[in-house]
Amino acid sequence: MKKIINEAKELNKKYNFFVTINEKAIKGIPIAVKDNICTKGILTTAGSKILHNYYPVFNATVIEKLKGCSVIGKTTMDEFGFGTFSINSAYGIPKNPHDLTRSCGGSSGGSAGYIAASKYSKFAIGQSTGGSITCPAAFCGVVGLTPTYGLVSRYGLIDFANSLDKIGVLAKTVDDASSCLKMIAGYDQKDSTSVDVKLKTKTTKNLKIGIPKEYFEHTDKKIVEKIFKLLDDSGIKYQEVSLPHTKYAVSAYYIIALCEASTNLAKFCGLRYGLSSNPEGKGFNEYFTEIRSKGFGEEAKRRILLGTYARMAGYRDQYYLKAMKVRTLIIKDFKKAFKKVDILVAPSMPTIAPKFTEIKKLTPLQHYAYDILTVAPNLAGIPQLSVPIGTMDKMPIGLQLLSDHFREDYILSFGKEVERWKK
Amino acid sequence: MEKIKIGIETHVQLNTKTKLFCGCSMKDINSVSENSRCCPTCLGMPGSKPRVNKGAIDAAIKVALALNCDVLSEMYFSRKTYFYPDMSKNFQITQYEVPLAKDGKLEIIDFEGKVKKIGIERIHLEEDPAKLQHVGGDISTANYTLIDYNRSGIPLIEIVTKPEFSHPKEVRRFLKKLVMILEYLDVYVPGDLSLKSDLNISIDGRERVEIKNVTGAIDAEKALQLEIVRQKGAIMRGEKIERETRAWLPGKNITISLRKKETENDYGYIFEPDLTKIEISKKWILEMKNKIPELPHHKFERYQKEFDISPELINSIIDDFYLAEFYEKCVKKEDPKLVATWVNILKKILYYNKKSFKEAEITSDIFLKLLKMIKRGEITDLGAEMILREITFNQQEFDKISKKYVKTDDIASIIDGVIKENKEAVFDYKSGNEKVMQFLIGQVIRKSNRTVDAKTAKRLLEEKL
Amino acid sequence: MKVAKSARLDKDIEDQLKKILEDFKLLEEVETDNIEPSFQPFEIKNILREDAVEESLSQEDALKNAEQKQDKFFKGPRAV
Repeated sequence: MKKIINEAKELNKKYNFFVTINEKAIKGIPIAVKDNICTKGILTTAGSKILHNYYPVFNATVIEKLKGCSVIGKTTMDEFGFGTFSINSAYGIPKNPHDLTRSCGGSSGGSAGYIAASKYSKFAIGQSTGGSITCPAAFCGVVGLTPTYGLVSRYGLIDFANSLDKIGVLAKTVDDASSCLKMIAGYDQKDSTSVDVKLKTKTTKNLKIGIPKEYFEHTDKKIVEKIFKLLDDSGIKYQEVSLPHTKYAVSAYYIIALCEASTNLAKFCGLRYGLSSNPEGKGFNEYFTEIRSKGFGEEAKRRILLGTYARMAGYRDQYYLKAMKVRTLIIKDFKKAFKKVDILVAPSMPTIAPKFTEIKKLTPLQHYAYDILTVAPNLAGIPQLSVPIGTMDKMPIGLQLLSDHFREDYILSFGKEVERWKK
Repeated sequence: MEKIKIGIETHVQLNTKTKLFCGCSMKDINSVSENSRCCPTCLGMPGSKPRVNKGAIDAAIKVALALNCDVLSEMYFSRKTYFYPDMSKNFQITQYEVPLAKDGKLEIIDFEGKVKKIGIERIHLEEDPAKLQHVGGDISTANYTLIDYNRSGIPLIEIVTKPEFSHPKEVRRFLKKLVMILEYLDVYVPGDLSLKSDLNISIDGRERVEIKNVTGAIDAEKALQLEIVRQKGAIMRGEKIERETRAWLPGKNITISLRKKETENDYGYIFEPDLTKIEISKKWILEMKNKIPELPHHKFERYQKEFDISPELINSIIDDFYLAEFYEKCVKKEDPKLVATWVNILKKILYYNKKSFKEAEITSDIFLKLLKMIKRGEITDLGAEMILREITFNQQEFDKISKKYVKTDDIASIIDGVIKENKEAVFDYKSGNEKVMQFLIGQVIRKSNRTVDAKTAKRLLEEKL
Repeated sequence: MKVAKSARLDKDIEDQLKKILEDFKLLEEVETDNIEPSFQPFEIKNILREDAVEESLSQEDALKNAEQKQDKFFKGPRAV
């Protein structure tokens, strides 16, 4: 274990993967955990200044379930999950191990980068709301497994958007991801949206493959070419399907996610835990505003404002309810496709990991547009597996496999096949 | 007379074993030390999640049925987001879009003495916030606030009426009747913090004023009466009545302005994504319906038909569910009128001792024994009352206690004794002062330890003198 | 801005927000007249908890993460 901790410290100096390294970890399988998952007695910040001093008095259920594991550290992330590049971190920005000038992706950047760089660790815990496992997995060249919504308990996960959040795995191989998922999945009565369904990880079925055409339209041409070459070289049969509401997914996602997030973040106001100051002589409006202005980063503030607006009386129908209805249509798109095929295969991200200098020039809307390939599956709560398929311009690219609810066995089985392809 | 329109929103604390969204125990919740009945959920700690208490829904269904409401077949929870120091999450989990029940009614006697039905707009479940202590001043002048989260998450039923009250008296009657029904349903914790109302009043079509957080029926009437007076005064001074929210300060019997209605808090309701929809089946409703005992107004009608006792006496008995139960048990074996009279006296004894019947120790067996002694003339009424006073809280000693008051055969010696000991009074009486007889009678009663009744004493004294 | 006040933040980024919200209006194109909203990705229903007591936190644990406290109370600002 000692060498693992030392490696973590070394990597951290170079890449900023960790908010906290737990030197007290002694034995067992080392596990790095995204810092929005509560670890009892270990600092848990969710990447935000406003929780710079939060030491949970309870463990998240996934931590309890990781038997034989020892939490070696909490990884860097976008504050509360707000971001696609992990640049909205109050504890240092994780750098891509393949190229220090590029992003690890986000929001589970630290976990993905660490798995890519570590010699010892086989899997790490991440979390996804709109693509925060798939994105960093693709950018860092590791496996990213986002389970079906409800398969893994959210108890102890610091909420971003409760109807979208899923805890998942960043891993070196599909088998490693599978092993980890087996440990953390399972019904938890502490979480009212936890589903009592048995996890299946293997299938012998002859899987029908579908290509959602809209996803390739939004992706870098070179990546598209590479994917089709791999598919054709592998000899597998596939058919084209359409997910017609794809272009609305980003708007629908952001409205829903931010409406929920703006209520989740209301609790951070300088009482009971977290950043605070002397409240004497101050009215509550004054005090709350002071703490929240100091403690939240710019993206968090932006999202809270947007989310608050979209559910205000007079706008609620037009934004919140409308987005929820569009979500229904997006889910219907997937359900329709899964009647024809078992798995959908698409690029994980539209480009390779961008440089930090490029990211700085993006407007908020351009940031959000990067999520185009991941938000729809996340809205639908279907399982997603991102498998590395070689490189493009020296940077990793990923292939995402999607299947219907609770059909992890399809994507894990096919994922193993993809791993065997010559890239 | 002004035209008054009042609507109320009453919050009732349920007597479930645990809080609404977590398993923290509700036992003695108001007397345990601060912040000792909390968990990550009711403290709003990041990472915590709510879980709905089935017992609270059971109770809410019972209340909805008792108030003649339509119980909805599907129930959802909503998030009502607003910032306040007593909120553990700065949103309250409540039921906005889809309440548990709606469109009920409760009958009261209006301010003119006529029967009137008050419409129930909706009933829903929500959680209570924490308790605030204002340090260095009152709510608006304090230096800071101390917060106790023991109460955070306590299950409340909110009952919203239609604005159909025309007088503060009607509000008091409604709340008293509501409390009685809640006690019958055994869903309610009687006590200081258990029934809080927000009162909305509009006089002569003027702006609506809200008085928040008024505890109990009597204070509700007071607060409304005061508001009517305050508005009268303001009108006379030429001031305009503004739409506002006021706080009731019970100790000082005044209301103070909290905020003027510029913008209503925009709560930005969303569906609570950590909880699921709950289907309320017909089976569940029937199950709860069967748990509802005979309600006060039905009991009243039945007692009127079956027992020949006055309405006042009926009301006195049915006021307390367990006392009524006791009464019904006794009348199976004894005359309803006799039982009624003595149950009423029992009630007075309980009231004097500030106890409810549930806290008394007396059983129907012992009570009936006492009534038999009265019927057989073994004890006087006064003697019976003395016995009852003692055995209400100590019925094992019945035999010993009752012996003390059994009528003695040796009345003659008592009479003689009184005459001997009160020579002056006797002289007065013989000299024509009739009024002194009362005094002498009193002496006989006292000396005989209430085993001689007034009538007999008078007769024997008059014979002797 | 009213929303900022409503969310207790002091940032004034009105233009940026307006642009983003305009973009989201894209959803108006979508025909949703007879479509039910999906508040969850698939229907989960009737999850209830029995009314049975579970252990609370110790008073110490409850207060552990609070910087602002006095005796065994949490300390906060004035309620008006």
